[in-house]
Amino acid sequence: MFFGFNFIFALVCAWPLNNFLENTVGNSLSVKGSLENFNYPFVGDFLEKYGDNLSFMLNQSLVVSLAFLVLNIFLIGGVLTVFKNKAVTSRLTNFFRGATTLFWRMTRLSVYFTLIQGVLFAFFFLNIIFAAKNFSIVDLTSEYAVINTIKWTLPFYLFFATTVAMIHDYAKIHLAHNSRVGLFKNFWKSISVSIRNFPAYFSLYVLNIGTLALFFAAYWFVFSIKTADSFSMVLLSFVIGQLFLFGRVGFKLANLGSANALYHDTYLAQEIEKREKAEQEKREKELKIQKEKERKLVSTF
Amino acid sequence: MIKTLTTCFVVCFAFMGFAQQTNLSPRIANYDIDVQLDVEQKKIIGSEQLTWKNTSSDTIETFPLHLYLNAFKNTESSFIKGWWEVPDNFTLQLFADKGWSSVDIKSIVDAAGNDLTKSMVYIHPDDDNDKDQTVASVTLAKPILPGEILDVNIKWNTTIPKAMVRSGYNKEFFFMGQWFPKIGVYEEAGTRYSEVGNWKCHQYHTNSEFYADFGSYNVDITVPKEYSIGATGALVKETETDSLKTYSYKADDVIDFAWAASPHFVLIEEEYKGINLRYFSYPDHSHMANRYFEILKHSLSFFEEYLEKYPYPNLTIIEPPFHGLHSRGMEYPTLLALGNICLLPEGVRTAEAFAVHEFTHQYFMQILASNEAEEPWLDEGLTSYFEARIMDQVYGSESSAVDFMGIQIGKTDMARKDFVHSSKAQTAKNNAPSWKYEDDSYQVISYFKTHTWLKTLEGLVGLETMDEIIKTYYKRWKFKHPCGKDFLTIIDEVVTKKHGNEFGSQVMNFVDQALNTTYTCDFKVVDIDNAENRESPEDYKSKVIVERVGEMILPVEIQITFRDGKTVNENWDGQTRRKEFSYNGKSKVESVQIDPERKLYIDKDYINNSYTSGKEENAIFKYATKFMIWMQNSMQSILVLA
Ligand SMILES: [Zn+2]
Repeated sequence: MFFGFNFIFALVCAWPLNNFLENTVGNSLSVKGSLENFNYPFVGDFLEKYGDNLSFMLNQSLVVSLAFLVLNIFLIGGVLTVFKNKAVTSRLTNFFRGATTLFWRMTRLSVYFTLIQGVLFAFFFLNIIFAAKNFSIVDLTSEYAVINTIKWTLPFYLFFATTVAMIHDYAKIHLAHNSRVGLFKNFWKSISVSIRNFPAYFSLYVLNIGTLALFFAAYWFVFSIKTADSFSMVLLSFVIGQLFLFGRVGFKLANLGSANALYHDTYLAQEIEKREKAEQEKREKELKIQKEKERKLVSTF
Repeated sequence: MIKTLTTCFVVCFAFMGFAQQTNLSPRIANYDIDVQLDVEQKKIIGSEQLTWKNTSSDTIETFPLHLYLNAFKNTESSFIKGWWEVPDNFTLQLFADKGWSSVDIKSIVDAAGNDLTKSMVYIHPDDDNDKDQTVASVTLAKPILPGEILDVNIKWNTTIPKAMVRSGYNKEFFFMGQWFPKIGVYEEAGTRYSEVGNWKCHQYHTNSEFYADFGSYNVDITVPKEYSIGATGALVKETETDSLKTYSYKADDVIDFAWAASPHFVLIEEEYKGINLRYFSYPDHSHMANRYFEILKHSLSFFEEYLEKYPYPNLTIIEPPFHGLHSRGMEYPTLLALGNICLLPEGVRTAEAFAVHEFTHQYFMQILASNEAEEPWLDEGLTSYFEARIMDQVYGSESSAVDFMGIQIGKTDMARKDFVHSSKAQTAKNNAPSWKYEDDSYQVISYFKTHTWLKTLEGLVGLETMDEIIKTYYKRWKFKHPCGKDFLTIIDEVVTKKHGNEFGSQVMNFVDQALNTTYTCDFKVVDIDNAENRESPEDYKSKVIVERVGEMILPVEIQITFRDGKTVNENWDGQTRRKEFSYNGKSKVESVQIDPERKLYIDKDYINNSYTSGKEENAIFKYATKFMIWMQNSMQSILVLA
């Protein structure tokens, strides 16, 4: 389903482009020349002539992408609800109930995390601009001032950005499990849980990202072997591209699923243990009270 | 006895012949310069002995001097007023912060001891800006007759500007081009475009660089001991005192002299075919040496084979640090100021292109010493053309500029696009003088337009004829001052000789339009019409309509392909706006292609040059699917935010 939406939304963007190309340059032989390789004269002439139409189409695609983002926020709520209640028989009802109840809070959560990511990036970026003295030829002594700054700050930035993205995942899971709790309480809770279980959570996240990166590399490698220069090759590369995307979507879900499982094993397990302990204590207490009562009763006699 | 005498004569003549041969150029303007760089005060204190030979048949009563750095004396100079590159208030702030530059002439004394200093007045031959002080005229005490020599001593001080274009300093990097009082070029009647004898001494404009006579330069530069100097010519001597060091450089048969100084220079040297390659850079750029040396060796070999061996024993590269990049991308005799970002990826070949470009100027500007101020197209255009030829030869014509992350761009395609699609393409004629271009149209027109029409000319006349044009031009004009007219004469001569009068005049008509008009070139296939023949249903009456959309008239080839695979080639002189071609036969016309071998680089739109009755669906499908996958991936990527 995730893949299907991805496919449809992209098709909505690509279809008009296909028609536009056919109507404008479809009858020119110069298109053929651009089949094998990147063809600068063709691309240049095309952009000069139809660049405005193209940028309009790209803007449309941006709007479609945003809609896709919102739809995904909705879908993730459903998926996490399904993950939570694996035993429930009617998965679909469960899914949509989860998606609708969580949507608004999930959206806000996304906005907050986007803001945090934005601030992080701004810090990183401004730091470079500052080191580069605004890239002024007059003031900046050497490019190495910039390069060294990037060398030092990039690992930190990546670490924090990854951590924030990871916490975002757990915040979503947490929200799905505690759908009655307020958003901010949830937010802080998920941070504290993530930090408490940091080594495990972070390792899993990095492992997932690493696997995806490997997958990416393989994809690039396949494409670097040969450029598509005939219909069958273009079709083949399209199919490979779709397979890759299918895999990518799968990875995304696997990442959430594994995070969900880890959440179960760590936080929830602890919680359950705590609850059980509390219950046992309570039972023991009650038992004690009962015994006391019995003793009192006996002594009255 | 007689035999001995004869031998003696033979030897003498041989020696004279040899002596004449060793002088590559007429050596008209010669300089012995002694200069001291004050790195604290950012000043140079200079003294020069100028000897100038009157090779004309005129009597000379005055002589002009370039005082280039007065361009940075105030905001009133023609240089600053004609500057498009930097916002005005930025420039002003820079000047206000760092102080103005100025050239102070302390004294001008001739060989007889006459003090000519007081006779010096500022002149402005190119425009009516009487505030411009980049050229001064000096009146002689005694006129110089034909064949006589002008011999004067000039003492001067210069406050060095903070570098903005070419010359100046920033931090401890000094780049000194256009830096000493330099005599103009005397053109007697009949030289280039001159109808009467006159001096050519152009003011210093933002875009103008050179026009000077050949000569010998002996230059002693004194700097603090820790400073190194890279300069035009060969280092012949180094003398050291307690705290100072004097570098003595010598260069013969050159039209200018430039140098750079810094305490941070690292020198890397290499020898190639007897030429000493010297690379001066800051340590953070020393790794660029190999990239430059590699491509320069290719360039040296290219010109050795194509025209003549590079005739100087040295070639020096100054690689400015990041804070010296205002001085980058300049050519001086035997000295190239390059300058690139130190982490430039290998596939982005701007470093190589810079090196080839500035080196090519050693031939087109230095050896063929045209008037760059008046006819920038003649050296920048030819240089840009050969820059691409060399880069194409080394890296392939489709990736000679960029071959990085799946994107390939060829040098010539790049120049074509930079011209034909530029909003500035029609703002000036190709042969406008350098100070008449508005804003940045200078580069678009004098570099890229010339490059594009030269490449089109090559397509029209064929590579062999093109090569003969250039080789004749070089042979006839090396170590002289050719002008555009001379170059055109040679094109006419060679093309007519090789291809006859009619084609010759068609080609010259094209060159004339390219140079003297702002016409655009655009041909288009309008339609293919395949009608069934009523009388015999198996036959078709086909019609092909082509159109000349641009104003430029050019002979053009058209290739018509029929469904059965047969092709027909047509020639069209392009005189009319439209042209129809009709065919009767069993096969329909499948496609039409104007300029099938793509010779007309100057055509601004290749897409409309062809028409096929079937759609090119494969390529479009490829673009659409690529875009789709790209969109899918981007959508997946932004899900990080979901
Ligand atoms: Zn140039």
